This record gives sequence, structure tokens and C-alpha cells, in this order.
Amino acid sequence: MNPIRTRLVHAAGVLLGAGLAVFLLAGARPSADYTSLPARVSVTVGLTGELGVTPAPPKPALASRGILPGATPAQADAAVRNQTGQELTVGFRAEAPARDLDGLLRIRLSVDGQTLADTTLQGLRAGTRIPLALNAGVERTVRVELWIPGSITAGYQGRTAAVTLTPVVRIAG
Amino acid sequence: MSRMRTTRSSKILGSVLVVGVLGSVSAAGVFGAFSATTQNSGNEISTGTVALGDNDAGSAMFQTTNAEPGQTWTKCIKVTYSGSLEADVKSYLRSTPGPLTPYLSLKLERGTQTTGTFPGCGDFTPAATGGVLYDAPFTNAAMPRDPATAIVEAPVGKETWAQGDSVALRMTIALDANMPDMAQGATTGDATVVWEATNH
Repeated sequence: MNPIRTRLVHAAGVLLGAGLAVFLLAGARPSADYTSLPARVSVTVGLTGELGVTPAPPKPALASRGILPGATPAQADAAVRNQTGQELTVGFRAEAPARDLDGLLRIRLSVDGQTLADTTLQGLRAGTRIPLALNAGVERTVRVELWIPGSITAGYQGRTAAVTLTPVVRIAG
Repeated sequence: MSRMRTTRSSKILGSVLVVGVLGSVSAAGVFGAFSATTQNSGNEISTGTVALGDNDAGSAMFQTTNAEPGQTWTKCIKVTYSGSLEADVKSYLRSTPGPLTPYLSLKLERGTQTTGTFPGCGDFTPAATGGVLYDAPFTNAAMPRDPATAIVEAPVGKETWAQGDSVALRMTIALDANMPDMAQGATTGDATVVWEATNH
């Protein structure tokens, strides 16, 4: 075998060996696909003396075990009743110990089709901007909807959030 | 001869070197893929809460002028517990008795109320047992005037308060029908009813 052919065979052997090593390394890496693990979120409407709430805490109004990006929003209703003798305006402020889902989880609060808030969990920590007016003795049903937008690809997997919607009550007028 | 041996040794050494390097890289990848960890995360300790509220929205239950002997007033208030810790609740009257106080009597009852609004007693239902917490003149020695002599109140059918519990309290205050003339123009002074929750 002439020297040139020998060198070519050696180079081909080295390239083949290196390629095999790269192939083995790539094949041995674990999959990075965790998308099937959903987020779990519960929402409880907090109590104050002025309002009667159904379901009353600690029972959550909504307990969703599987929220995945792009899925249909989880929803539930909670009844809020003004048990004072005066007209009140009621807002809600989100409180949740864990902040993993703050920028990912969207929450919409509405009453009879009127939206009180449509924001992220982080945004709702500042409270609803549109107050709910409640006359003395009147009960209204607040719809809670939760979802993760389909554009979210990571950060939600296996995360949990126990959200409390704390009423912020003011006497109207 | 010596040159040929050197060349062969170099080749063998080179091959061993290449195989060794590639083997090391492959081994690192293989061991990296099969390594595993476990962890215990999210360790955190936080305190619970004791929180008590009522439905008065800042308004007084009783505010009357021109009262007459023998007149009675009945009002209701609903007290709701929203704390996360179980608690006991007791109530007492914080006041500086005025000249009219000796002619007053108080009946305090506990029960439930679902649709009524403060200070009405529309659908108040007294507890079947233990409904009357106090029924005597204000001058009675048992009148709860401080935390030490306070009346212990529990939700109907329970011994302690948990989150979501509430109690409706009906208060009936009566003025003595046989008040002397000297009681004209007198006042009770400002009185505050206090509910106090303590976890246990």
C-alpha cells in the first residue's frame, strides 16, 4: 500500500471513529420532552365579614389538576353576597405563595359577562381594576377562568399554585 | 530496522491514544445519561393566620335618641372567621357606663343567618341548644366587660372556629319600664362590643 493510500485509510478510520462516538453521545442523552406534565392550580375566594362566599374557604371554587398550554380554560363559579346593610364595591386581589406560574397563568374574572379582570396571575396580584358593585343583600356569581396560552412552551410543567382571591371591600359612594 | 520499529511504535501509540480519547468521551456521555438525582425542595415554614370579621361595614348596631321607658331594640350581627388556624372566640362589652346603663338589660343569642343583612334579623334562627349566651341587666355581675369575663362563643354545632365558620348574634336591649324621672335625658355613653379570636 502506498503512503498516500495508507494516510487516507487512517484519516477515514479516525473520522469514522469520531462520528461513531458523537452518534453514541447524542443517542445516549435523555429526551428533553416534558410537555405532558401539566400545571395544577386551585382558586379559593377569600372571606371577609362583609361578604358571604360560596363555596366558603377552605373549599376551593376551582381545583384544576391538569392545565396545559392552549387547552380549553378551566372554569368555575363562586357566589358572593353582600351581607352588610350598605352598598359595596368589591375588588379581588390574587395571593399565591408560589410564583412559578405568575407570568404564565392567565386569569379572567367576570360577572354576567362583564369582565372584571383578564390578566396574568402576576397582574391580578395588584387587584382587579373594574370593581363589582353589590347592593345590600345582593348576591352575584363570579366566574373564574384559568388557562395557559398555547405560545407557552416551558416553565409550567409540574408547577402548582394555590391562588386565593382576596376580596377588597369598600363602601360605595 | 530501528527506524521501522520507531514508526510502528508511534502508530500503535497513536491508535491507543485515539481509542482512549474517543472511549473517554463516549464513556462520559453514557455515564452522564444514566446519572440520577433526587431532591427535596421547596422547604419553607410560614405562620398561619387568625382573622375575624363582621358585617357591620363600620355602622353601629344601636344608635337611638329620644328613647322611652319600656322600649326594646333587636338587632343582629354576623361574625365570620377567615383565619387559617383554628381558634376560640369570645366577646365582651368595652364601655364606660353612663347614667342610663343601670336601666338597661341585654339578651344575647347565637344562631345562624343566611340571607339577612346587617343590622336586620330577618332569617335569624337561634341555636337549638345553648342559644342564649346572656340574659340579664347590664348591672349583673356576670356582664362580660373584659377579656377575663368574656362570653365564649362557638359556631352552632362546633366547639372551635375554623376558616369559613360564622355565627349570627341577636342582641335585644330593653329599657326598664319603671325608670325614675331622674333618668330623663340620660345616655348610656359609647359602648363597643368586641369579638376576640385566639388560636389554640
